[in-house]
Amino acid sequence: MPEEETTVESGEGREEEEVLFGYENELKEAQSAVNDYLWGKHKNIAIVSDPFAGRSTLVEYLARDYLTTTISFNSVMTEKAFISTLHDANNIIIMDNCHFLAMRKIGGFAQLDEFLKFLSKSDKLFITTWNTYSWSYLSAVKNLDEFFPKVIRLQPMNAESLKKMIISHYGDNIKYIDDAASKEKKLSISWKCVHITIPFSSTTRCIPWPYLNLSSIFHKKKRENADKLVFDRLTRVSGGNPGIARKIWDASIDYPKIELSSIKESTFNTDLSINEAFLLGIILTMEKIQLGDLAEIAGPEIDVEESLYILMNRELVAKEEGYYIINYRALKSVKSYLELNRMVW
Amino acid sequence: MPDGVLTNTTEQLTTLPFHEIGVETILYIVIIIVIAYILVRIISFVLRFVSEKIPGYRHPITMLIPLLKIVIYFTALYYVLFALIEPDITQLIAFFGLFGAALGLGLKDLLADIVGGIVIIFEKPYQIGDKITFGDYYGEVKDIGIRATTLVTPGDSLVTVPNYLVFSKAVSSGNAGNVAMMVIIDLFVDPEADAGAAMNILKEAVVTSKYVYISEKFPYTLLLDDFPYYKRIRAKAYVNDLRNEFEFMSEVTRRAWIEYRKLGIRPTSYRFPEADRDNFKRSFTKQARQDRD
Repeated sequence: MPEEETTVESGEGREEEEVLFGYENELKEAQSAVNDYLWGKHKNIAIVSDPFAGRSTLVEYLARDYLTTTISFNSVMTEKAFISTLHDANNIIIMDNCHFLAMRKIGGFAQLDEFLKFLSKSDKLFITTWNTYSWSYLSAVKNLDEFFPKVIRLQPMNAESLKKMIISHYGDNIKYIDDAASKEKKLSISWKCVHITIPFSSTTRCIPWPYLNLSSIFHKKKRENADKLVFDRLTRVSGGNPGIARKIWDASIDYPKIELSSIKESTFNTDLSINEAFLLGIILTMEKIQLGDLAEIAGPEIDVEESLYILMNRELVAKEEGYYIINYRALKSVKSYLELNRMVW
Repeated sequence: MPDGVLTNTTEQLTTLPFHEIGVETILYIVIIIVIAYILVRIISFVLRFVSEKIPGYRHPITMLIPLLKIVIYFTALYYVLFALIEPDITQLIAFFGLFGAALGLGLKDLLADIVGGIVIIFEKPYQIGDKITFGDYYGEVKDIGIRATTLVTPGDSLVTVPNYLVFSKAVSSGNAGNVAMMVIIDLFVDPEADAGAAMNILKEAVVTSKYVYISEKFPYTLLLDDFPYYKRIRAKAYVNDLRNEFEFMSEVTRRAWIEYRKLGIRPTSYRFPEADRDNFKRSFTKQARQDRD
């Protein structure tokens, strides 16, 4: 098995007590399913989330509590060798990033089929993690959801959970600055009635006309606390995704102070051709993919390099260590565009 | 209409309080008509623009266009009438009765088209953006006007079908208001070919296509049919946007045949007589559409 494709670790139970912020309920749900297995009720688990949402962290916490074997897939699997690892593994097997078991091409489901064949004959408990869109796609195409009766979806976090998570890393001596107050004075628009006499008629009609209420600029409403405003904006910009929130936070903070205006919402040009949208969808569902794998999926009719150039130029896709990934700032726009166009579901 | 009623109606109308019709009134009417026309054009343009930006809601948004057209044109008609006359309610009813009768006699086709248009808008046998077969024509509905429906055929021809035909001709809609539409893809392989392998490849070609849309509501199906000179492998699946119907068929067919060739699955060796090929293709396409609908 090529070393760069998978990593295998054996966990021997609890090492240290740490708190998992934001996903406490999901962790309890997973622990409860594992405990059920130990008591004889077997339900394989699928943990499903968006990219950057932290499903690997969640399974790391699970691995600390139980005797497990963890197999982590790091890129597209092209060989069935990992199956032999499953034979020798502990009774509880954690398989991280299982979306790397399938490729959206003819003949691209062989690894997944092999894994599902093994799973359906096995008494072992499989705790698997999947990308949201890959999970939906494979459930529609391969009935994946039938093999994993326990599905745990990592939902977007609210501002309070994000705050707890961020403070756990940075401490609570952060200075929050509401510098956006003066920039956020919004003009309110209301409709006023303007009476106009219709030409060649004595009738007077009321025509609605937009009216700018300038007084809102001069009579400022009392604003919320700066820290609340910062985390509200961080939640909105990151879409509640903890991984993205961390990245945005890191890019915005000038330790120990963070200004509200430094957390910026970006806009992206998502007017794409069907080929570019398809490749973007593949990158979103695989989370990270190499050029060769992308070219195999795309086939000869798509000029992959040209399309990637356009996607990178528009900052929708980034390249990291030879892999193409979705630019974390663009994830919200990419998801919304691809869902609207039914390129992912 | 009985004589007494007709006399009564005529009397009502002869006493209609007509305004004095001068240049100002005519200009007023012209302005109303121009405003109504411009408003319809602007609303159509804006709604079409918005609908293209949100493909999932293309149909509900574009269906507002014919509805708003009717509202705007009838409002304009109301203003025009009241610029000419100022009737009381009895006179108004009498006027519309006679106006309707005049239209019915003189412009009955136009009236039938308008009524057909209203029926299409409210009953929705098809909507703007649907792919429909209307009489002998197949294409995407571009517009539902007051008088006629405009279709764009796969060959990019614009076909105008009078709305009244909705009463007499069968209309089939391939997607019934949805952006996703079922597409049937048929591949004909040699009768000796491994049908299981051929079906599996076609299935994977369909589910990995960039145009496919699969969910519980939009499932895909694979079927095998044995004919004397060939085996027909048929895939039924939904295309994510009906505008990609033919690209979907072409992409899946091309990719499946590349894989068939690798496995030695050959196309049927049966050759239709030259003269029959076009007829076969035409009747076959028609049959496939009927199977889908």
